[in-house]
Amino acid sequence: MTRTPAAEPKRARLRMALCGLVILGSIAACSDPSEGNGESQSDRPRSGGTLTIATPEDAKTLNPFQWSTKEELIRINQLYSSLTRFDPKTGDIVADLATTWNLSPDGLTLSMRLRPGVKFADGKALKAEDVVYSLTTAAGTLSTKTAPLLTSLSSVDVAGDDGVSIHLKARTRSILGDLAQIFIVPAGFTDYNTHPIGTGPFQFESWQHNQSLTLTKNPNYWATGKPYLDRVVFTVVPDPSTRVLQLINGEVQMIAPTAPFAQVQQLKSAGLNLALPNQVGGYYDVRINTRIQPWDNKSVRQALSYAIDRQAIEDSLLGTAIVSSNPIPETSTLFDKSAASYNQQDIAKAKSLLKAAGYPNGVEANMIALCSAGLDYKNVAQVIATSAKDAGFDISLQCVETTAFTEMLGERNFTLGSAGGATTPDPLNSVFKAWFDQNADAIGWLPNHPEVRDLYTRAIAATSDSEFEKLVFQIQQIEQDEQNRIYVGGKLSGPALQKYVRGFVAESYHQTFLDSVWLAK
Amino acid sequence: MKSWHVLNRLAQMVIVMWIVSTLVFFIFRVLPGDEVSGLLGVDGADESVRSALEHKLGLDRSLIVQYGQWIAAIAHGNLGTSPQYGDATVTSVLAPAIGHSAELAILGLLLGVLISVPLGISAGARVGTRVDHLARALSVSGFSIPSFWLGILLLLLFTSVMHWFPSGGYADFEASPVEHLRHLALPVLTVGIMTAGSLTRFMRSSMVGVLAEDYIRTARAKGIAPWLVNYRHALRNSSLPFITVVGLELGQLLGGMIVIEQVFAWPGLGQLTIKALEARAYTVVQGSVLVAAAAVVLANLAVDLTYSVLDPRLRRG
Repeated sequence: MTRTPAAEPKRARLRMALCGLVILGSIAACSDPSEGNGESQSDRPRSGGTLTIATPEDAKTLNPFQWSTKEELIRINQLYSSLTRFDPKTGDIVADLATTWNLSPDGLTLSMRLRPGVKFADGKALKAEDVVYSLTTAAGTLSTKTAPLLTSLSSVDVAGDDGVSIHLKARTRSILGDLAQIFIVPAGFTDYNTHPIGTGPFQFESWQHNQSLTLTKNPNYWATGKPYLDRVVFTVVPDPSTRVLQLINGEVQMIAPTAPFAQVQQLKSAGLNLALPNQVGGYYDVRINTRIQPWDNKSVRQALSYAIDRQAIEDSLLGTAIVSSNPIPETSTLFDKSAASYNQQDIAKAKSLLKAAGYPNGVEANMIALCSAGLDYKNVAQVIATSAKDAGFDISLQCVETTAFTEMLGERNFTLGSAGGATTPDPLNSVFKAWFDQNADAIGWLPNHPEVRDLYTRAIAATSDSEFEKLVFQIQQIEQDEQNRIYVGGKLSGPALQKYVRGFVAESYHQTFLDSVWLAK
Repeated sequence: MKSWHVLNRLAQMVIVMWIVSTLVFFIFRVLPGDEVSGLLGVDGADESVRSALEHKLGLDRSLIVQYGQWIAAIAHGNLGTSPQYGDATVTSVLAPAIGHSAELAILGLLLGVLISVPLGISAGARVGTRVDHLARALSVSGFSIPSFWLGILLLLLFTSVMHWFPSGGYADFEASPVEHLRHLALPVLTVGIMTAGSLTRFMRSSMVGVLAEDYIRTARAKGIAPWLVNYRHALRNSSLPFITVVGLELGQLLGGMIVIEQVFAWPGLGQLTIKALEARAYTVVQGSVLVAAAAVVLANLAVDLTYSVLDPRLRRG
């Protein structure tokens, strides 16, 4: 065949096309073979890297028995482990340092087998004596955070080389959930703030107060291959705008424990992720001093609850809260649909209740609000005061700091108190925090109603789920009717993070575990 | 300045610090909320726990006894420990914060002086001209703009838009001097702009007054160059009131640049004091107030000493 000049360009284009095909084929051949399985390289955890987390405050202590703020808990979570923990996705109790457990038929002895091969960060093996020491210390009077969880603890003994026996004064359904909040330290250890040692995924490296806390990978961590991160650095950035700016600019990879709600839209617009827990893990509430008039009158309390516009609260918090008047989440099996609900604002009903109570012209009250805990608390308090006005409640707002709030409640020196709290996934914890914790004394209603406390005591010791549920339903019926503590919204907030931070699951109780976190960049 | 005068001033300083610390001690304990509430957090605790903590911290003793114990400890240079800071000594908690604040205050003020002196001199020497109007406008802007707004504006401009500097925080100098300076740049610029605002006004007014003096007219008549007249002859005399203001500014800055430290996450004394106050960390706040009072007094003493260097009449007197 002879080549003509006209055919040359055609052959050149053919050659180029063939080259292109070869190049494309080469690229395809070099790609991840697993892509054919539906996985990509970026889905598989990678070891290495430093995760920098900006928090609004520094921890004041790393003592796992005396922490009091979310910022402290998020740091402590990385250093220590517990016997059990809550599954971040389901909220069920799962094994951690204890692999199996058995409750005696009378419910008074919990026998636990410890995970073999666990070591502390300093290389020493975890022993049963360490667990005994930790639980005994946790139950001590000065263990301000953990002692209330272990009021039913009688004693703890070593049971063989790798087990402990936990003896209880009375059966308690919450014991496994309570143990999830008790961290294990070496026997005799007290050096929590200069050189903490735990069995957690990370170990202490350095702490510059008010600046940063640096943790490095614990080479002795029991979960093989974890943690993936080499280092975690907690920085202190008090201003929320600056925290958000640092995240947007890529200087930090996460802001925790929660993203500032006022900047949620800004974060989303910047293409960042908001890690919200699967379930509501906290609440906003109004605590009422039922010792003083007219708040000793149930109708007045119910009137206030009906007057509050909970939808406005949800709207004002820009997606980080949900409408709720019951501290038990609606998704919980313990939620009683037939218990009184105040989700829908009803001004007419509020007014008629006030009139029936003898206050047709309304009620004046002072409400202290926990504004220093965050802008969301201030927002909630303002919405409460504003929306209740329509029903005749003239509420004057007084913003106070946390310490003042705690003292005023403790001394009963308040009328109304707007605050909030967090609960663990343990259903009994929701019930406890809702109506039976230390605030119950401040509110003053429960001490006058021992029959309700008796219901709670029976619920704690219930031997079957159905009995437990029945008792919790009874408590709900009474408490939702009494409204001595008005619930105005459920919290749904979590950290904000870069998209390349993978493996993070937000948990409802501000427990933030980083052992499965890795960086895709 | 005679040494007895210095000793006299130091003695006054001790008295001032005693008065200030006593006031803070008692006022603090009258405020709602106490140290135990700060430790317990919003969940509180039952009475037995509260009592045990109060006993451990010595808060169940009478106020007078607590005060006496604290003053006795201070006299021995012991500022105490703080349970809110992991039982660390107050000195160890305050020392780094003082250093960070001092660094920011001194460098910020230095920048402010470097801006305000030439600006003030130019404005004072050219009263009524465009230079004067511009300098006064910049000066008013500098001290009128709220510090938090200026700080955030600089953050947005230099971090989000230009990506020149980090968005706040602190980097250890020993770990990386360059990073340390990069983190320092914006807070120093903020402090510098703010202080330059007020200092420019003082320098300008002072210059206007001095430039009207006869000896200045004589100097000009002798043909001395204007810049020499301004910087060599006029500046020295006009700097006396200026130095007073610089000294006062330094004392105030050392006492706490709370807002700037907050915006830039600079771990200084102001931020520490606010957090300690919120937590009712009594010993830390008391120690911090003592430091702030000492800073103001020492700054004033330094101003007086500088006066005697600049003004020969004071040395002879």
